[in-house]
Amino acid sequence: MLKLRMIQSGFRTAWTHKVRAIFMILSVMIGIAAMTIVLSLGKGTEQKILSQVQKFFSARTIMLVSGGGRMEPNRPVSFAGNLKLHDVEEVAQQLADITEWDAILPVPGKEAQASGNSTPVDIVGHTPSAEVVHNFVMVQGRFFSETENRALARVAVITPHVRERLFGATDPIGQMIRIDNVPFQIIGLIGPRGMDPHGTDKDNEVLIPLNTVLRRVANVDYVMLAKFQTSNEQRLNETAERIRSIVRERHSIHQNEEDDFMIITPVRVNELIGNATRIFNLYLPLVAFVSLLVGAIVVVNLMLISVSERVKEIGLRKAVGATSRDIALQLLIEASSITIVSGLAGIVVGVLLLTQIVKLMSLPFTVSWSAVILCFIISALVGIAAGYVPARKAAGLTPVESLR
Amino acid sequence: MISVSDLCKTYKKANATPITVVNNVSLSIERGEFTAIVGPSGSGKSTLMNILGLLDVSDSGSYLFEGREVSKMSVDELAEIRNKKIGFVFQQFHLLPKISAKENVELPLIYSRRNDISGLAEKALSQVGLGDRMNHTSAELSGGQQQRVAVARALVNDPDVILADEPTGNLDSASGTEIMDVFKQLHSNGKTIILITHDMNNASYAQKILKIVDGTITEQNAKPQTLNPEP
Ligand SMILES: Nc1ncnc2c1ncn2[C@@H]1O[C@H](COP(=O)(O)OP(=O)(O)OP(=O)(O)O)[C@@H](O)[C@H]1O
Ligand SMILES: [Mg+2]
Repeated sequence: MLKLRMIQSGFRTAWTHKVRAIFMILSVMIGIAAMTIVLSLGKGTEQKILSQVQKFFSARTIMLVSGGGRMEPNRPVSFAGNLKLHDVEEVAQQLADITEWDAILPVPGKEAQASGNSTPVDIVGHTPSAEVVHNFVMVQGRFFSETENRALARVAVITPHVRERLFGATDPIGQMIRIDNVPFQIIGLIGPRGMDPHGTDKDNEVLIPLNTVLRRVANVDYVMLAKFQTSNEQRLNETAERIRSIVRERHSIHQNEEDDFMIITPVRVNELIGNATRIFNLYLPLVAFVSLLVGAIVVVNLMLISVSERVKEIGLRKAVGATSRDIALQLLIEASSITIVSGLAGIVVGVLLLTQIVKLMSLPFTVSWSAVILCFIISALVGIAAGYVPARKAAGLTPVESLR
Repeated sequence: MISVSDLCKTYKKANATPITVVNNVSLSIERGEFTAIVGPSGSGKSTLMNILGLLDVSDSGSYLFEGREVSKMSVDELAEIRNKKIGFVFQQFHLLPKISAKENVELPLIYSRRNDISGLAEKALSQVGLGDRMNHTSAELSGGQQQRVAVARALVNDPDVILADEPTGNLDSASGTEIMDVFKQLHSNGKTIILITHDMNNASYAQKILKIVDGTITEQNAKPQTLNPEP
């Protein structure tokens, strides 16, 4: 470890410029910290959206939505009323891959009354298989049956917020709830589901058999969407295409006309999530990258100053017997240690800040390690090159030339 | 030990007439010899000394160091000779400003690839009378003390040849004499010493005096006594 003494001696002289070293460390640190935070937030946001969406959308799910055109994350829910329950039934009947299905008609903004209380709720018509299709967790009671659906029974399954607002602590099962003055008997309570990707509170819904909603509440024959559960993930796209052709035929859509409905597969969902998180995964990293770039420029400049200031020192070290290789090694280690130390400090600071930001934004805590490490490597390389290249040049001069 | 013939060094500057600073210098220095180089300011003493100390290269001529042609050596070989065989005292000290005297003196040891270097820097500093100033930085030392640190650095690695470019130029006569005593001591220990000086008293310590004027050796006197020392 003879080299160790050399390197130590180099550090002794390098560290005499503390302010400069601290500036170098700070500028790289800030850049790396910014990158760590932004890239990790991007990943966290994407994960949050994904986990939200996955609650509603599994890999074997195909959704058939009324109304054509493009669906974007924040597009208001509106539909033409041309997707009939019969269309959905026909699809489910024709395609053997479809194991379960649910057709849905929401009727938002109704007033519900019970035990002297009143609260606005969203009515949603579901088929009985919704319990399976959506993985509803029954907290109390049961979901409605096919018999009840066929009989247009006035039964309802309520959700946590509705239960709270109407019944408080009392047992809601078996109680009556009035919607537009029509009484429904509460037969079940499902667990909390949170917000859907559109921002609708799923815990403020009253679930009622679809047929009951169609005939007794909305008096229509269409649904807003249907959700199919398929048995074969591999054939998902094929199944989606078959759904498309069945519905197109039933809607007598001409060959060169556009669909008047929309089919959403997990692939499409991922595309939509990608669009939604682009700001986090593209634009913000770009901003953070600029700060990293600024840091890199600062480091390059300071390194150049440092090396040019130390040409004399390099000359002297050579005069007393240092080889060019000794000098190059010393400066390489100095440059890399300063960038590595500041890079690591940046990651630590970034991660610490991230834990706080994540709390504020109620995002899952994830660190995008691959991206962070990439940034770290890039900044380390920049710092090393910035220190090493001019040092190499200085090391090539004769001692007298550098001492002049 | 050192044998030089027809050495030339010319500085060319864009749109200026080139100046030949070392002009056809031939000299030879035996092992154990004490040589003084004298001459007016700007006559090329330092330039010649830098070439002899392997810190600079000549444009033409031959330089044999211990019988080997210097221009045929690799830069690493030159570095090793500078480290192990030559101790150089610069006219402008060239100490690293922010580290201690001891750390400055240790520099040649660091690059010597020797394992046991403990105590050597302290010993060299004591030798030049700075045993009590080891942890001072150059900023905290007087010019004379800095010069002595530079001398300690030159002798710390126990070199065969010590090249000193006006080592007493910044010292009062008392500390100048101290330094010269160090050189005398080194000489009596068998070191080869080449000393540039303006001071004829100092030159009188030498066995041989070379006088340089305008890059050329005008006098090689083996009997310094005949050159009247200045009062
Ligand atoms: N890098 C250089 N470029 C151009 N000219 C130079 C360079 N270095 C030295 N010289 C010139 O070479 C001449 C000799 O310089 P040198 O330093 O060898 O003189 P010196 O004899 O040591 O003088 P002093 O006694 O003042 O130290 C001077 O005229 C100086 O201007
Ligand atoms: Mg000089």
